[in-house]
Amino acid sequence: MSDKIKDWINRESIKFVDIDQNYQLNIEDAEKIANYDFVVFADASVAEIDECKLEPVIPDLKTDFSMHSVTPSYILALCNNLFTKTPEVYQLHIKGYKWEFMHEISKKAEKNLDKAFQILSSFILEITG
Amino acid sequence: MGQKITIEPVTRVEGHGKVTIHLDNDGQVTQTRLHIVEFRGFERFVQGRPYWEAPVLVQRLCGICPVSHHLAAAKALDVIVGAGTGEGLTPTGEKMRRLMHYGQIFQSHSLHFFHLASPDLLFGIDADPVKRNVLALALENKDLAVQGVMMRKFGQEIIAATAGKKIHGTGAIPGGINKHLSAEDKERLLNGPAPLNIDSMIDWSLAALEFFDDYHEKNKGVIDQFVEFPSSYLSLVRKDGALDLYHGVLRAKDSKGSIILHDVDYQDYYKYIDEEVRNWSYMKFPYLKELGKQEGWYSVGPLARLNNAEFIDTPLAQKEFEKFKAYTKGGLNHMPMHAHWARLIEILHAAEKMKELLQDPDLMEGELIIKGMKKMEGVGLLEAPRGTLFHHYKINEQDQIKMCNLIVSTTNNNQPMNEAVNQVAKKMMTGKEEITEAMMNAVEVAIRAYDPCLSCATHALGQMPLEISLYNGDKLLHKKRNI
Repeated sequence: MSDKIKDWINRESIKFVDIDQNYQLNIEDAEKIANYDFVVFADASVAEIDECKLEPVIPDLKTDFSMHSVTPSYILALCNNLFTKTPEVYQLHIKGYKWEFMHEISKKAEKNLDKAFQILSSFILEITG
Repeated sequence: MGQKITIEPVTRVEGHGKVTIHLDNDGQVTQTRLHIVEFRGFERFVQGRPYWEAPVLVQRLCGICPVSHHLAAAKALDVIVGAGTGEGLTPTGEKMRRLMHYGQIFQSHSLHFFHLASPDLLFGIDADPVKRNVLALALENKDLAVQGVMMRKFGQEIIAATAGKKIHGTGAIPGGINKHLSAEDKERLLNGPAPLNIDSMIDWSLAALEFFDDYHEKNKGVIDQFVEFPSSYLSLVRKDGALDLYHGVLRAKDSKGSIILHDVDYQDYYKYIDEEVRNWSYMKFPYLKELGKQEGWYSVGPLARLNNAEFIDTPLAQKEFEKFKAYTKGGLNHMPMHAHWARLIEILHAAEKMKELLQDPDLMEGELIIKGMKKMEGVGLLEAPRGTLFHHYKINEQDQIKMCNLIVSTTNNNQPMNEAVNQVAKKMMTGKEEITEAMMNAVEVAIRAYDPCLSCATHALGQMPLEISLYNGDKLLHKKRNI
C-alpha cells in the first residue's frame, strides 16, 4: 500500500510531502513526527467503513499491552509528552478485503485507494494553500 | 474446594499467554502455569518454499527481533550453500552481519529496559497500575524516556544501513551479505549530530547502568530477593570463552556452575537438546537430553550469557561484567531480576562493538559472498536479544525447504518463566485473604524479566493478550486483563 502511495506522490509531483514506509509503528516514530506540522498515517484497514476515511488522531495515554506495534494515538501521545510537539495528525483508513500472504491488492481495494488519493490530494492542497 | 487465579493478558510482554494459579482451601498455592494459547505454525508455513527465501520469510514472525530470525536463517543457509558454519564468510559478509545484529540487540534491549521494564523499577511493583507505564515515566524522568526512544532509533538506523530496511530487511543472503556500508551511513552513525551518533549511545549506555546501580543500591529487596531459584544456563560463547552474540559454540552450566555441555558445535544441537510437548500449552519445553525432561530445563538470555561467559572483549562492558560477577563472588547469578542488569551490560557491549565495526574498512569494500559445495541440511544459531535462537532447515533436490525446526529464545525460557511464576505466586499469595493488583502485577514483573516474545514462541502473528485469573476449584474468583 505504501509503495502505491509513494508512486502516486511522485507521479503527481506533490511538493512539501515526505513519505516514510514501515512495517509497523514503534516508539521512535514519536520523534519523527515531532519534526512535522501535519502527519497522515495511511494504511489498508479492516475497520467498518465505506471505501476510505480520513479522521483526526486523538492522543491516547493508554499503554498498548504489546510493543510489537503501537497505534497512531500512542505515537502522538508520546510525541506530545516526550518531545512537547503537537503536530496535527490524521489517519487515513483504506478499506481492504483480503489479507492472505502474497495477495496482490484486490480490484475493489484498488478503487478505494483511488478515492483515498482524491481525499489526500484535497487535504494536501488545503494545508499547503 | 480450592482457588484458581488466571492472569491474561500480561502487559508489556510481546505476545499472548495466560497465567493460571490454583489455591487450595487454606490459601496455599498448589499449581501455577504459564500457558501459551496461540499457534500458527510457521515451521509448516515455509515448507515447499525455495530455501533462499527463508531469511526474508521467517523474519515475519516478529516485528521486534526480525533481524535475529533473518540472520539465524541466513546462517543455516550458509551451511547449505557451502559457505561454512559461521566462520567461512568473507570479512565483509561476517562484519556487516555482526553490525546488523548488534544494532538489533541495542534497539531491542533499549525498548525493553526503558519502555517495558523501567516503569516497574521506577514506580515499584505495588504502584498504581495507571502509573506503571511509559507516559508516567516521561513525567517522572523525561530524560530516561527520551533516551530510550533515541537509543531504539539509533539501533534501527544501524539495521537500515546494513539490512536495507529498519524492519524486515533483505541484507543477509545465503553465503554473505548483499551490500557494503555506505560512506554516508558510516559518517552519520559515527560522527552525526548528537545524540544520534555512536559516542552519545555509549555515554547513554553508561548512564543507564548508573541509573540501575543507583536503583539497585536503594532497592535490593526488589532486585535481589523478589525471585531467585537455581537453574541451568545455556548460551553460545566464543571458542575462547568470551561473550559472543553472533557466533560460537554451545555451552551449558548446571545450577552449581559445572559445565555440562562442553562448547559443542551447534550443527549437532539435536544430539543434546530435545523438546517436550505438554497438553496445556502450545509453547514447547526444551531440555538437555543428558539430564532428562524433569531436570534438563535451562535458562537463556542476558543472565545466562553472562553466567556462561568468562570475559567480554570490549573494555567498558568488561569493567561492568567484573562488577556483575563480583556481586555473586564469581558464582552463578540465579536472580532473574538481574537480567535487567545483564541486559544493560549487553547494551553497552553492543554499542562498543558497533563503534569498532563502524571504523572497520572491511565493511566498505571486499567480497560480499562466498559459496562452496552444496549441502542438504544446515543449522543456524545466534544469541537473539532474548536468548539462544535455533534455525534448522533441510531441503530437497528441487531446492525447496522440506523441514524447518525453530527453537526460539522464549521457548527456551518456557520452564524458567513457569518457575518464576510459581515462586512469586507462592511468595505473594500464599495464605492471603485478598488478591490485590500488586500481587497480580508481581507475577507479570517476574515474566517480564525474561523479556518474552510470545508471538515468536508460538510463531503466530498479531496482537496476543495475556490474562491472570484466580479460581476456587472451577469457580472464577478474580480476573485481570490489561489491554
